[in-house]
Formats: sequence, structure tokens, C-alpha cells
Amino acid sequence: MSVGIPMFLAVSAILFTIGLIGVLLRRSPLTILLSLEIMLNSVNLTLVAFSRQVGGSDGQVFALVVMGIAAAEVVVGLGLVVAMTRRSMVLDTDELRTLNG
Amino acid sequence: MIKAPDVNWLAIAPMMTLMIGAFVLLLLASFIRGRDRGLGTVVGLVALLASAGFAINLWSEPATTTMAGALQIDQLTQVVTVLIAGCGILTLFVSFGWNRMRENGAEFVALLLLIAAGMDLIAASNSFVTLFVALELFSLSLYVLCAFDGKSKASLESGFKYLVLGTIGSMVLVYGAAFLYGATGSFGFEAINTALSKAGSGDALVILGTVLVLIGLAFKIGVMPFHMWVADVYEGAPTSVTGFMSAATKIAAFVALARVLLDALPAMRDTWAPALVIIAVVTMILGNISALVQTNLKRMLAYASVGAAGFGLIAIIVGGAAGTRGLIFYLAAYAPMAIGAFAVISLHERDHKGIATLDSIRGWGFQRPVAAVSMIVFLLGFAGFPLTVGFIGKFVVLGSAVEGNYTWLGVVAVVASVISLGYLLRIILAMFDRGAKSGVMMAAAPGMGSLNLAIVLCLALVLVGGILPGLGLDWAADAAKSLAAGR
Amino acid sequence: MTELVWITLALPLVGVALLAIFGNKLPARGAGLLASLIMLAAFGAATVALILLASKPEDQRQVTETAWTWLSAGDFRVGFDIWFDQLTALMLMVVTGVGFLIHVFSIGYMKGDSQERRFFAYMNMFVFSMLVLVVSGNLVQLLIGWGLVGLSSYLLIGFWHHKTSAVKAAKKAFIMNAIGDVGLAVGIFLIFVDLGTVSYSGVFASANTLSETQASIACLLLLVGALAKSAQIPLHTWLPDAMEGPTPVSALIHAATMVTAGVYLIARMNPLFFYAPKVLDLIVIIGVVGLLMAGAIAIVQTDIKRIIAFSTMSQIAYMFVGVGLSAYWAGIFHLFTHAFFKALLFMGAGLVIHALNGEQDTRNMGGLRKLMPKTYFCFIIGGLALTGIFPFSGGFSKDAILGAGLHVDSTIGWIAYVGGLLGALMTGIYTFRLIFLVFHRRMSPYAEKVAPPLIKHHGEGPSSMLWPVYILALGAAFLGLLQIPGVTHVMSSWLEPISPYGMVEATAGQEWLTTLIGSVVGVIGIIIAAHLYLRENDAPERIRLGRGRLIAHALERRCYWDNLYEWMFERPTQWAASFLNRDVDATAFRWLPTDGVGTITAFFGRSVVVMQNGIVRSYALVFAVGIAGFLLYLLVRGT
Repeated sequence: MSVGIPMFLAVSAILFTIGLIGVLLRRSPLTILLSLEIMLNSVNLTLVAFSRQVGGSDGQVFALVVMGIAAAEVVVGLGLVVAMTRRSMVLDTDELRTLNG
Repeated sequence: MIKAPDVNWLAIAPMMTLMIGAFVLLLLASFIRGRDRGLGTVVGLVALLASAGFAINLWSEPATTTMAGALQIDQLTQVVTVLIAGCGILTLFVSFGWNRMRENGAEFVALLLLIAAGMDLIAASNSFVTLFVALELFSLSLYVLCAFDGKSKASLESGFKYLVLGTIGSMVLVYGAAFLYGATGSFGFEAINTALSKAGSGDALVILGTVLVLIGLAFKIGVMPFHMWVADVYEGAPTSVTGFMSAATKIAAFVALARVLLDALPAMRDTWAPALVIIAVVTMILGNISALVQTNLKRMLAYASVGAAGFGLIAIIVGGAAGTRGLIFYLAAYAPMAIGAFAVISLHERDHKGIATLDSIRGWGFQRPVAAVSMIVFLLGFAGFPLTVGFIGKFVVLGSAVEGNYTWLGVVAVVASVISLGYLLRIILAMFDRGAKSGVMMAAAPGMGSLNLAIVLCLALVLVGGILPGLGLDWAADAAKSLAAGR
Repeated sequence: MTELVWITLALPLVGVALLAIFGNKLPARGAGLLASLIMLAAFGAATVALILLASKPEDQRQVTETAWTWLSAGDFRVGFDIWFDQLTALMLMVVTGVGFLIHVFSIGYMKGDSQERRFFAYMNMFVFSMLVLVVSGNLVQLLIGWGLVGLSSYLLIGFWHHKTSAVKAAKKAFIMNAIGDVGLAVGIFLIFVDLGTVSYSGVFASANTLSETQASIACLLLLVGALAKSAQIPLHTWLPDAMEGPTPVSALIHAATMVTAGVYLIARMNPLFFYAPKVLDLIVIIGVVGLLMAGAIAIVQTDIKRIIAFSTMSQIAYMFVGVGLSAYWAGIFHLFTHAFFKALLFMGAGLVIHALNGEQDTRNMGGLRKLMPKTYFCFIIGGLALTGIFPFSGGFSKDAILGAGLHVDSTIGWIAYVGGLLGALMTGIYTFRLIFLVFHRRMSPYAEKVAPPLIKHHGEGPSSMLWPVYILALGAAFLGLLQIPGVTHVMSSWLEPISPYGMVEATAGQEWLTTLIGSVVGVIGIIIAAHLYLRENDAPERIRLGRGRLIAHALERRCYWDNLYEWMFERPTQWAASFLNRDVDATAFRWLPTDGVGTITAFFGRSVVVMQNGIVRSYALVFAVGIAGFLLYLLVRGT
């Protein structure tokens, strides 16, 4: 069966939601970063799907760019997690709330 | 043979200078340990001044696009470059004496330069791709900068929170861009605009895309209900960084919003304008009300910043030549007040060796009269008192609102200003509370000089801008013409 | 030439800045010297500017310059404009010249006060404010100067802020001035709405497009401002209380400069007032009533400064009569001479107060003639000038006003003429009552105890206090010669061009007639005063307790104005405030702790902030809800 573009869009929407729910429900910083990655990739999927529909390769190129940036993001995120570990901070975002109000 | 794209090197010289400066510093970082602070600051100043210099040089050039249409260099770009350079220079002065600078100064400055480059690129963006890359360039560097004080848990926490929430925002933005791409076939602003004006604006994809893009950018600006990160991040980040954030990210994010909404999506006005109106009203009122109940000064000003962002939205809602001129001038006016206020808080933190709260500043004004008086001017500028540049900024925005038949928005803004006086005056009164003269004035520490210099510079900018705004208004008007809606 | 005006304007501002920043490092005398030197320099610049202006041909004596535009929105353009013409030049001379003399006087008077530096900073600030007001070329700048002057007055009246009476007086002055400010501001708005401009040149050029009603309402509102600033009925009650401030303050602000700002305003806006003749008539009436009432009240006052204060109110009423009759030059001429002789009298009073170690009640004075001959001499000159006896200055200026009334020959004119002459009679009475009570008769026990040792020690006063007084005395005596009817007409010809529609000026014959009658009436007043007060005499007391009982009571209560305002405003406001506090706030919002509105706002603030619990994912949740909300909103609006 020919998988139409709307199917891709639906899948990526579901992925985006899953990622978002992941951020909402998970407490470990690593898992949150993971969920963010899922969201990122769902967007990539959308881009590629639209690129297919529109023709041309703009969307795919953008998806590549997003992947690159996602990588950079992960570096920063993990770096922060490592720094937090070094400061003996509990890796539980629910406990990470000295800044509030 | 692959044909290399045509690059107008002169046009992108400002950004290139900053990036080269950043790379130089990063390369040198390991070699200059121990002399970080001085060398780093010098290189940073040179880079920022050079970028501003290039921008001023380019002022009279006609607008061009370069990098195969990815960038558009026009007067708005130049104005933003100069403004960001100014914010950067002031921040360098503010952070000069900071102890972390001595250890990692080169990296701090390098990050700052990258952030500046990213912001300049935002102002030069002509397509969603460029916008996203530039946005992420500045955001990622900023996440690191917020977490820069590795010794402070609060700093790390703020960096992490900013990262998580900021990424969500960016993702929403790209998602929206994807939908727009799907509907119009391009990422470029002009192309999108052409496609939308031809095809009409009723398509579900387009509307969805518009709203998502709007939400994504609203995250970055920090307006309600997407403001949750602002207070925590501003509070946890090192104070000099907070000042820079308050001023520069506002400029960058607003320019991004302006470019997107006014260059790419003016056809969708009926969709995004009502949404912005709701956001603006809620932000202005609730932002200032939230500030009322704060005791931590950085948090208080963070919420004030949120309220100010709401006010800036009015200018975008109004649009047109008057609105965009008002927006640019307002952003430029806001910068010295914000950086100055946070600089004073930084000074107080150094004196007090602790967190700045309403209680800690009781009576502090008498020990540091110059700083305290400057703070009064900055705070009154936030409220919009005449003789400060804040008044002129608010005046032009409100004026454009009245001209654009959005008078009632102006009324809401004035009400919000009145509410803001509730906490602004409280700070002023606390500073000069005679009943509580705290401790002995700390001896001048190294770097105090540059901090005081920064405060005085900001003070001068605020007052001069308040009394002689003519030139600034003209420049803002010129820059505004670069936006499609400003012509 | 405008550079000189800029310099004159900037110097006091520089003075304030220097005193504010470096004041603590200056020795005490230094502050006074610095402030006075600045005033001298400003006076010099003003003089040169005047000379330069005078050297221009008569029809070119109106120099305007815009420094920069501060705000412009649509038609509304406000900038820092300078309007330098004959009137401005004259006012500059008065403010800086008399200001300089008073600054020098203050060096001696305020010596020993712990807050000397603050005093001189405020004084310079006041001069700056007054200059801004006077050189302004547009109404908004005028309003700014107007407000600054009010602020400076507040600071200076309440200078001794540990004295509750002084603080109350300062507040009263400020509030009444604020009422005037509102009137002025609304008037300016109206003018902008009607004429589309706030600059003087614009307003003057287009004033003829106004209907009489429009012009009248605008002028009426401007008048409200003028009445408050110049302490005329009905906004006059603050002036006697303002005497709580140091005497140099009374001399400078409440005699020579600030209180004359109202007269200046009307004279300056004369092209506008030309189109509101009924308002001009009203001004004359208010003036006449004022000068009579104030003169009468002055007769029964016992505090030396308050006698002079009511005298000031009365004399300014004369100025109002002058401008109300469209004899603008005469009103300004009287402003000019009044600055000299009134400041002279205040400073003389200051010398007396100084010699009596702070005593201000005339009942504790008397017989000081032998001990303070120089002061006495100056008082006599000032008194004669005030009463308007030929050939002293006050006479020429006052009679110029009365002569105008005669010349106009209408009902209003006659009211002015007769009222003015009656006022002159009263002026003679209260002025010389003051002189006789202080310098003649027997010394009071208090004076006998305190004065001789002080005077033997210090003389009548340090030279820094005496020679400004002498200079003022010279002015009070001889400045009238500028405008001898039929002989010299320096004043009228100098000021003539500021009114495009012409001014009223009496003929030489009418002038001399008025001068004659005026002097005679004044002398009669002096004789009455002498009869009642020169020797120990129980006649005044008998009148006060006997036939004149009712009038005396009314006058001593200052004609019940304070009581009226207390009933009309103070009591209702206090009642409303305590009602709201007690009954509404406490009961209606009983379920909220303490104060109502504040708590509600804080409640909202806390409810918003409660969401900021510090946990990242809950923030993300709010974001998600926000996203969902907007998407929902989309659906509802229909795609």
C-alpha cells in the first residue's frame, strides 16, 4: 500500500506528542533529553515528508541541519548533566527546584 | 564543478568578526590560563566594536541578500548589530571583576561573542532555516552561559531548565515552519509571503503553521503563558548574564518575531494578531502582578521583564511604520535600563556577599549613593517616567497604538505601568530606608571600577536618550522600513 | 545672544549639581559663596543679553530658538524652546539680580544652620526652575518650569523639616499649587485641542481663530494656575503659612519671583487673553477684592512676616488689576519695583528677627529705632515705596496701574481706580503700623533683654546681610525714575511690543493726577497709623474689642477662608477616608487580612506565582497546555 504523506504527518505528530509526554512525565534529566530528541526527530520526519510532497530538497536539507543542531544540543545537555553530577546534585528534576516562586 | 554560492563578505563582516573572535579565544583559551580575564575582555571588546563599526559602515548601503538568499542585510540588521554590540560591551564591563572570569574568562567572552553573532544573524535572516540556525546558535551558547558558574547549583539548574524548555520552544517553531513549508513550498520569508498573498490564508496547514511559529517565538521572548522559564533562569544565572539576557535576547527574539510575522506572514494577520492581543494583555497585567509578590530582586526584575515583553508585543500588533519604529526604539531604550539595573544588583551582591533581596538592600543606598541613584533612574525608566529613555520608548509605542486604533491596549499598558510602580518604588524606598543602615562599605575590589563604569554608561544612555531622543528615533524609523510592514 | 540665555539658564543647574555632588566636601561658607557666585555670573549673563537685545531695532526684539525637539507625535511637537523678548529679558534680570542679592543675604542669615549646603542647593534649583519657566517658548515647557518651581517652593518652605508647622505649611502650599497646576495643564490641553500647537508663536498667530467661549474657557483655566501660583483669591491661603520657611526664602520666592509667575503668565499670554475680555474683567475684580481683603487682614496681624506676606498678596493683586486692565506694562513694572521693595522689607525683617534671636511677634518688639538705625532707614524707604509715596518707586508703578484704570473709563476701570486708592490707604496704615510697632514706642521686655547684647556683639548684622539690603533700598528708592509720566517712559516703551494688540497707558496728565491723589491717600494712611500706633495707645485695643469687634474677628481669622476650606475639603476627605478605612475596608473585606486592594492584587500575584514550583516538567506542562489552548482557539474560530 502506498503510504501517503498524511500518514507520515500523523506518525510525526504522534511522535511529537510522545516526546512531549516524555518531558512531562519523566524525572531523570537523561530521559528528558531523550524525549527532547524524540520530539526533534518527529519534526525531522515532518520536514522530510513535506519535502517529498512539495518537491525539491529544501525540507530534507533542513532536516539535516536540524539533526546537526540536535547533536549540538545533546552535547550541551549532557555536559550540563555531567556538571550537575560533579556538583553532587540529585539527578531528579523534581528535586531540582531551588529556583521557584 | 559545484558552483560556490555568492557570498557578499562585506555584508556579513559584522557576524564574521564576532565568530572569528570567538574561535580565536577558544583556541587561545588553554594557552592563556590565568590571564584570561584581561586578554579575553580585550579581544571581546575589539570584536564587538569591530562588528559595530562594520555595521555603521554598512548603514548607507542598500539592502542586499546574500548567501543565495538566506540572509538579508538591511538597516534593521545594522541597528540590531550595533545594539547587541552595545549590550555586549556593557556586559563585558559588568562581568570584568567577576571571579569566574579569572578562571574561564576566555570561554565566557567566546560564548558571548557567539551569542552576539547568533543574534545578528537572526536580524539578518531571510528564511526559516537561517532563523532556526541563528536562534539555536545563540540559544545553545546562552544555555551554557547561564550555567557558567559551575560552582553554583542554582546556575546549573537554571541552565538546564533553560535548555529543556528552550528546546521545546525551538521544536515547536520548526514544526510550525515545516507546516508552512508544506503549504507554500519554501522556507524563505519572501517566498512564503508571495505564496500566501496569492493563495489566501484559509488553509489549515498554514494556520497551524502560523500558530506554532508564533508559540515557538513566544517561548523565546518569554511572554505568558510561555514565560515559566524566565523567572528561574534569570534568578539562577550569573547576574551579568541575566542583564545581557534581559536586554539582548529580548531584542533578538522580538526581531525574530517581527521578521517572521511582518516579512513572511503579514497575510496571516487575522490569525496572529488576535492571539498576540490576548497574550499581550495577559502578560502585561499578570507579569507585573507577579513581580509584586517577589522578594528576590533578580526575580522581581525578571517578572518586570516579562511585563515589558508584553508591552513590546503591542508594537508588533500595531505594525505599520509607526509600530515597527516604536518596537525598535523601545527595545533599544529597554537595553541600558535593564543592563544597568542588573549591574547595580551585581554590585550589591558583591557588597553583600549574598543574594540580593528587598531586605538586603535596606539602607544600602546610603553606602553607594551613585549606584543607588542610578538604580532609581533605571527603575523609573521601567515605569516610564519622563526624562528617561523609557518614557520615550513607551510614548512612541503607545502613540502608535493610538494611531492604529488600538487605544484600549494602550490603556491596559498604562494600568500595567501603574501596577509596576508598586514594586519599583518599593525597591527605591528600601534602598534609602534610614532605619536600617547595614554594615560597612566593602573596600573597592578589583573590577569594581569597570562595574561602576558600566552603571554610569547605562545611566548616561538612559538620560541622554530621554532628553534628546531625536536621533535614535530617526534611526529606528529607518530600520523599521526594512521590515515589509514598515514600508 | 541666545547662548547667553543658555548660560544664564545653565548656571544655576550647574550650581545644584555641584552642590549636590560635592556639597559635603565644601566648607559651610563655601556652599553659600558658590551659589552666590553662580547667581552673580547668571546675572551678568542676563544683563549682557538684555543689552544685546536692546541694541537691536525695536521690531526685532523677539528672539526665538529651538534647542531640540523632545517629543513629536502627529501635530504635537514639544521641544526645548527659548523665547527671548523684552519681557523675558526683564524677568531674567529680576530673578537673577534680586536672587543674587538674596543669596548673599542668606550667607549671613543661614550661618550656623547645619543644613546650609542643602539650602543653597535648593535655592539654586529654584532659580533654575524659575528661569525655565520664564525663558520657555512653549506651554509644555512652561508647565515643566511651573511644576519645578512648585517643588522648589515645597522644599524650601519645609526646609526645617523637624518643625511640624513648617511641614504642614509646605504641604499646603504644594497641594494648592497642584490645584493650580491641574487648571493650567487642562488649559494647555484645551489650547492644543483648539489650536493644534503649544508653542507661543503658534498660539499667538492663531489665537484669532478662537471663538470667545473657547478663548474664555482656556484663559479661565490658565487663570486658575495663575491664581494658585500668585496666591490670589481663592487659592491664596497657602501664602501666609509659607512664612514658616526661612526669611530669605520668603524674600525670594514669596515676594520677588515665584508669586509673580502668575502675573507673568497672563502678561505673556496676552494675545490669548485679548480674545477673552470677560476673563480680563474677572481678573480685575479678583484683584480688587484681593487687594482690599489682604490689606485689611494685614492691619491686624501680629507676626512681622505675616504682615509682609499679606502685603505681598495685596500688591500682587494690584499687578493682577494691571494686567486685567490690559495695561500689561504697568503690571510688570509693579512686579519689577515690588521685587525690590518687598525683598527689602523681608530682608529688613530678617535683620530684626536675627537681632531678636528668632522672635517674630511684633508684640515683643518696639523701640528698635535707636539700636538698629540702618535697618530702620531701610524699612522707611521700603515702607514709603510700598505705600506709593512720590517719588519712590512703588508710587510710580502702582499709580501707573491706577492711571490705567482711570484711562479706561469703564465701570471696571473705575472699580479698579477707587479700589486701588482705598487699598493705598490701607497699605499706608498697615505698613507704617508695622514700622511704628517695631521701631518706635517702648521696647518690649523681651526685646530689652535680648537685643542690646546681640547688637552690641554683632552690630546690626554682618556686612553680607547689610549691603544687599542697601542695594535693594537704592532700587526701591530710585527705580521709579524709569517711568516718570511724561518725562521718561523706559518701561512702557520697552514692554510695548510684547502685546500685539496694544496696551492701555494713561496720559501724562492722568498719571500725575493719580500720583498726586495716590500720594495724598498714602500719607493719610501713614497719619492714621501714626495716630493709632506711634505712641502707646489703647485706641486700637478699644476699637478691636468695641465697635470693630466683628470686623476685627473676621480679619484675624483671615476672613474665614481657612475655615471654609477646612469645611469644604479637609473634613469631608478625612471623613471619607476614615469611612472607607473603618467601614468599607474592614468590614467588606473582613475575610481578607488587613488592607483590601493591596491584598487582592497580591492574591492574584501569588496565585500566578504558585505555578512556579521550580519543577521543570510542570513548566513544560503549562507550555503544553498553552499550546493546546491556542490550537483549540484555532478550532473554535474555525479554519
